[in-house]
Amino acid sequence: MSTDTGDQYQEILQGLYGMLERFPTRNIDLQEQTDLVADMGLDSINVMELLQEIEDRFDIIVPLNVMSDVRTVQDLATQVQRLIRENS
Amino acid sequence: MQPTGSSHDLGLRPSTFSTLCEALDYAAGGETGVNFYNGRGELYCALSYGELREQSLELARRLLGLGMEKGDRVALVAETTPDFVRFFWACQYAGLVPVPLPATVHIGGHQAFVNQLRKLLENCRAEAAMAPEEWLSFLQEATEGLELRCVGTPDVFDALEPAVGELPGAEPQDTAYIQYTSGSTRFPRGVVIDHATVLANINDMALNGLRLNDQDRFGSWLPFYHDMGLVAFIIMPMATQRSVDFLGTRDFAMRPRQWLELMSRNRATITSAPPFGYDLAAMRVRASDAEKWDLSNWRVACVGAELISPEPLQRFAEALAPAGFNPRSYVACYGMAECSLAISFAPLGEEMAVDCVDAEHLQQAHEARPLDPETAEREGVRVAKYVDCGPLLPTFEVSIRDDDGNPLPERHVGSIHLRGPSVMSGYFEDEASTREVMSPDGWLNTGDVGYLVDGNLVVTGRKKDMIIVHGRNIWPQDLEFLAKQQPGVRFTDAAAFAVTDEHQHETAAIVVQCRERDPARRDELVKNIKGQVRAEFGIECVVELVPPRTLPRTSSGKLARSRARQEFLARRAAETAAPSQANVVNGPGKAAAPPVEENRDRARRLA
Repeated sequence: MSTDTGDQYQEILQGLYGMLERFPTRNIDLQEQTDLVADMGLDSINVMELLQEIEDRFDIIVPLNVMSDVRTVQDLATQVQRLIRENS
Repeated sequence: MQPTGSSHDLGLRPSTFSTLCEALDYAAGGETGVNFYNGRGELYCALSYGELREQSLELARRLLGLGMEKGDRVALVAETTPDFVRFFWACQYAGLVPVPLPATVHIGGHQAFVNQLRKLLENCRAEAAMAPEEWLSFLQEATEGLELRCVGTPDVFDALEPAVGELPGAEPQDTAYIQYTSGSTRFPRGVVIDHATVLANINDMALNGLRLNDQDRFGSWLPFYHDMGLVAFIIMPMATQRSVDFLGTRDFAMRPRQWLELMSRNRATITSAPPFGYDLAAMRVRASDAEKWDLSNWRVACVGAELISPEPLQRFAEALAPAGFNPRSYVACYGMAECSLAISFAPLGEEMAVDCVDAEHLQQAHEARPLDPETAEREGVRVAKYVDCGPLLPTFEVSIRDDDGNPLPERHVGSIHLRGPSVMSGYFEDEASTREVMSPDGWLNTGDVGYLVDGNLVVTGRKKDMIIVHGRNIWPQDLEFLAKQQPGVRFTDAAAFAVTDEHQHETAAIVVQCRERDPARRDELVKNIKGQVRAEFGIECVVELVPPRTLPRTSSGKLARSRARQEFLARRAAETAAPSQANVVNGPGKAAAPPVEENRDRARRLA
């Protein structure tokens, strides 16, 4: 990973942490390996809210087939980075 | 691009046709049609019924080019797209049977969704299957090893060699579609609906439930694989020559304000949603929205499909009052896929009526004795409140029966039996399940429980053991199955049922018998079950681990789910009373409040 993409990834990750903190997190420490559903307990309505924030903030459209394979914060950040790259 | 208009010179014919093909032939003579909006509120496709008919006829020939025969099933992943609608009507002209498949996958739910699709494809023995581009990979996985004539995106079907000769079309008794709303995901049951059947229900709704006029316009975000989305918003507008505006379900869930923006912009008059839909929208509406919107044309806001709690509806009405939303637009309704769609509507333009009855007497004597809340409070008697779902549509015969099948008088609670021209012919190729619910003389046992007051239907409980979250039916067997898949959990070890959380929302609880003593492994088990349930159903559930032989069984060894539920609630209540002794429950602490019986019983469903 070059420094640039590494920086971009970190920026996305921090952005995601900011969004995720507003959901009921059951006092867990958010980390890259935190499982969005199993650890955080996000339900389908929460996920939709999160997606809306992600789409608006990063100006991307997140296709469905992407989310069906996302489990952790890291998975999500990686996909967001990929979508931003494809967009530019 | 301009949306299709709301009115035209073509005379309103409220579904007085013998087949859906005949209905579309008629609607094609007008100027109304279907309109599709994206998540940013932009119109991306507007088709008049005339254009839709032309495209459907063209596609019908290409479908027949695959060599399919009359009555063969074509599975359609039912994303909210113009293609779904085009395929649905093409199947009618081609004499084929469209089968809408769910288009909803939860985060991390890849495999669960593929399995579900495969079950349905196998159950209906589909000859062909269509999915939009973004769903294709799931469909391909689900059809691996199955012998279908064609699996692909709309483009693939549009490139097929068309058949020559006359299109077979349809007869009134031909199957119009198969609906999988009511079955469990593991043991699906396809509701078979004929042309005459669905048209009878729509005619009844148009004339009596909704009293359609020639200015009405529909708006919806409901999924096309749901009976309300399909029948009330695809078939009904077409069969009554009305325009309809569609917003994708996922787009609604992400940006609920778009629904109201759209209702306002096109001055739509009729929409429908489960209570949670109004709730979601109310949470996101801004004061500035309500000032700029005009919802004064909105005359029917149907509420159905799940437990109706008045609070979110009140919040919604208050937030939208500045936009001219009238709370008398709310119409409580009751229905199910087995009856095409609708069974009863509360009267239009009236406030939602609530029947207050003596809760104790209801439980003991199964009689709904009226009791006004003030008297009840003075005398310290518990009141149960139920929303009145109005008179049955006139084509239905209703009979409330006791457990032995004897008819009961008014205000006596029993299972709701219905007969009439809107009732299904049966479950697809499943005689045993059909016989379970239908008598030879045409009575359908809905499985739901309720009573009649002056001919109005009041529903107090629904299909045995069903769990309803966000308007979706979840079968306890499916949740139990997921628990039993875990290592160390045996086949007889799980019981699932509905409970209400601290916000009075219905959710699921699963009690699992567990021999494990190591706390870390116990936590792991709970976490895994919850994760599986989320992946498959997208809901948060409560999981309780109990020692072996805790779950109650009947004398024949069958799981006694309602008793398991009562015992669970009793344990919860004891735990709340003495929190220091809490050591068995592994559910989230925030859901520890004992569920309230009355609220669960206020259940109302529109399939």
